[in-house]
Amino acid sequence: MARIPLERLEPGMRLTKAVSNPQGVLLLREGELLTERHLQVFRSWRVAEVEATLADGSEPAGAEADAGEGGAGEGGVACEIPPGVEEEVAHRFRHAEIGSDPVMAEIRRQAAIRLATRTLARPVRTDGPVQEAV
Amino acid sequence: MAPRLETLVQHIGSLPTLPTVLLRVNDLVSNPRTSAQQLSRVVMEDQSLTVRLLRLVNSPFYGFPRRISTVTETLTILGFNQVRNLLLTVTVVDLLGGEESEEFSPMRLWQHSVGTAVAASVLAKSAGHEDREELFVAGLLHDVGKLVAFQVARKYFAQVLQLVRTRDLLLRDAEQEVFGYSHDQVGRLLAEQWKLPVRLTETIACHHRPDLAQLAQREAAIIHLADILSRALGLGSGGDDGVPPLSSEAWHRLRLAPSALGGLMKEIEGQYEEAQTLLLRQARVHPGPAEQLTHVS
Repeated sequence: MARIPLERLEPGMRLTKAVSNPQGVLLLREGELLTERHLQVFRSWRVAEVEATLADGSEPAGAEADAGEGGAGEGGVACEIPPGVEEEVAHRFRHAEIGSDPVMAEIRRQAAIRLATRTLARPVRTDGPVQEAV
Repeated sequence: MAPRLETLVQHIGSLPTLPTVLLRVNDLVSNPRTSAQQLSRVVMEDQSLTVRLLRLVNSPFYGFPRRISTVTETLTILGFNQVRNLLLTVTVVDLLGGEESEEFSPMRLWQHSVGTAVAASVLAKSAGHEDREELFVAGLLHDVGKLVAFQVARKYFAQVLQLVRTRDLLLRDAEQEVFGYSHDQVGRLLAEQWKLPVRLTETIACHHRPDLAQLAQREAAIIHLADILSRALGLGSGGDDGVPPLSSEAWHRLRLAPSALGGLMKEIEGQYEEAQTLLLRQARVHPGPAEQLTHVS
């Protein structure tokens, strides 16, 4: 199994492990062939690296051996929330007096997830497989 | 000097009124002796209302398992209260409108109201409330007091909006500064004028202070949280863009687990577009920017 940094990913490679965003929303399933649009989505989520092979199953040059558990939890590979989402949510919640209230904190967290998911959904709406993420 | 609440209320007379049919329906529903035949006869006097009621109950959004083709059937299957609430829903769509302006958009308030209505209905289901339709209507109407202030005291409402912008206040706090009262109080008076059921009136009146509710404590708690979730999801705008603080009493009353919020918010977002499209289709006149209903000369 090879972990490939985003900048070395190319269309036509095959994912060998599903990629999820930090909230655990599935972006792309294991076994999918990467397209240029998928790479754009990974970039927008700042996905750092994914596990993939060349289309024929061979390991691409420059791949790093899997060093065990890495990335952002189950089924996930490290990535970040798209730019602008955190700012927008912080603006919406500026009067909310969250403090140590776990309920309001959860509402805020979920609002960020919804907004991030919508932001992600927008560019891929016309492009099939990644839409499952919504 | 901003108009006193009593003065504002006197001008409510120049605001849209509920169709007389609906006032009669309200009377009949609150009378335990009313029969389904009596009630359906009154509803059917208004053909347009009848058509819209049947269209609504047969829409996929309501998802009743089989086709309902007459008013009497609707009453038998759904009961008087729910039909009254559905009639209110199709009616208030026409009333919630107004001229778009740079500072205030009735269209975005409408979207916020639909978002709150959907959220209230989803929360009602989750909290095991028996009457989702009543909560849906309450969500649609919860901010109707803002529209009254916008329509009958526009100059002062503009000051409110200016305070919201310049001092980054929540709209309700700005209303208190300019008027000395707020839209929830105005909403109560309009609801009374419209002879809405007492519990619905109280739900509208107490959506910011659910702790003050006496008859409709759970309903007020649901609308309070629904308003917060609708804002958290960025569905429309209530005139300010902030999520207000959550009443912990309201939260505890609903006995929801924080871990349920993710699923609920996803469901609300999912139903929102559908509800908005459906309700706009119901409207006699679409409250879109180009074809606003103007209530006050």
